Amino acid sequence: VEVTVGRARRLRAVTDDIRSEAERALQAVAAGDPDALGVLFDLLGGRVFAVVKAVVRDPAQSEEVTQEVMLEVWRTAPRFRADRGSATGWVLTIAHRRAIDRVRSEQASRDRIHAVGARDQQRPFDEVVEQVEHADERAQLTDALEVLSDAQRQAVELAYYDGLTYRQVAERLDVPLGTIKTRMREALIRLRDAMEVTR
Amino acid sequence: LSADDPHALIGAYLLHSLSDPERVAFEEHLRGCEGCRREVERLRDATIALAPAPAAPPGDLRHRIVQQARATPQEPPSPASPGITAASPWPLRLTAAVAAVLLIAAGGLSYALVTVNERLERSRADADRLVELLSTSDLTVATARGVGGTTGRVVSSASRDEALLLIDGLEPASPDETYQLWFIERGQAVSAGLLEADAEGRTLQTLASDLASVDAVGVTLEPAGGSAQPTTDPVLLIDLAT
Repeated sequence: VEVTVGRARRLRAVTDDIRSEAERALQAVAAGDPDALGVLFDLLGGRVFAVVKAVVRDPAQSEEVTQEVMLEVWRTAPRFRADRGSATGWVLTIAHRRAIDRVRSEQASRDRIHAVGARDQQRPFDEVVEQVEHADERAQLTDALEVLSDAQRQAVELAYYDGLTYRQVAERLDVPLGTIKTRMREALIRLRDAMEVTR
Repeated sequence: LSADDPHALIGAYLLHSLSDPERVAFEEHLRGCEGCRREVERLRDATIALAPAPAAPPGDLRHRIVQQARATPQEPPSPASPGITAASPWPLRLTAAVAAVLLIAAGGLSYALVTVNERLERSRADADRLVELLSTSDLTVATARGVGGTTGRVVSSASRDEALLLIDGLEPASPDETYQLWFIERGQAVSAGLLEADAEGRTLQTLASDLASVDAVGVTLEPAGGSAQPTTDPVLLIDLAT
């Protein structure tokens, strides 16, 4: 038990370090330093790319969107408010927002599945690798989402990863709109509480 | 908490699961509801838990991002937010000096100073070039009025290969049209790129080119994406020869 606690504490210390480094880098970005954006990308680029890829899926498009995200971070950094949340949360929110925008502007979710199917015939290998990676990413998430009920997790996953609106989620699951709204909000409250406990 | 209460939409909002019109309406509600605002702030970081494990981005992406940032102006901090305020990249007195030089050099340009100042706040690189250009002693200003209320000025210096183009009062272009800038040299039009104006129809461009051989600068309305040669009559033509 001692060992586990020690490891958890070290892990937390590392996470906290990254967190405050990201805060400092974002502050320098806000002051107009383009090199600080490179530093911020070193710290959070992998997470930004992962969020975008989880939603957009196509690697080339994910790269494009990641670049858009970092440029939006650059443009709007002077408006970031440290007293209203973490730098990581702020950057990943922009990443997810941009990824969702890309998916929605391109096609409805159903069309996207068809498109993936069509590409499967042209580039089966890449697509299979992509699907496997995607499944793997989802599997890794199970830990974080363990605190959620099955119903909450389902609602959150359809919205966050598949880019469905809550109305589409309600239709898909054949559940009243109000129930879906509540599930989404309560899922976030649970995730937040869990994060605070592990801190 | 009733399901119709806007408060109930906080989860869907943070998961980016509202349709665009609903998001706009909810953000409007947020502006007037401190309770919701605070809960959004408290819950936003919970979405970090949904982010998958980091994936290695392509190797040259970092370089491209930093390069692109260098060429992109930043937005000013929101005036009502004293949180992290970026140190002004440009000392105030220098901004004032530029304003003074512009006023003396170009007389009657004061309306354009708003644009210049905005630019100065946003981009240090642009400011550097402006200061250098505007502090030269042999500054000349060519002015022209175009279609409607369009006014254009080219501020240039013979000792430098740079000029400043200021245009005011451009009508908004329709989505399938764009303004294009032309250099007229010995009766030939050479494209100098597409022009983007702000909401008030103003634009400020640093023309990094030797204008010695350019007789006039023209602006036409072209199909989106621009044309190889002008296809319409100019909305503005600034004669540099006089």
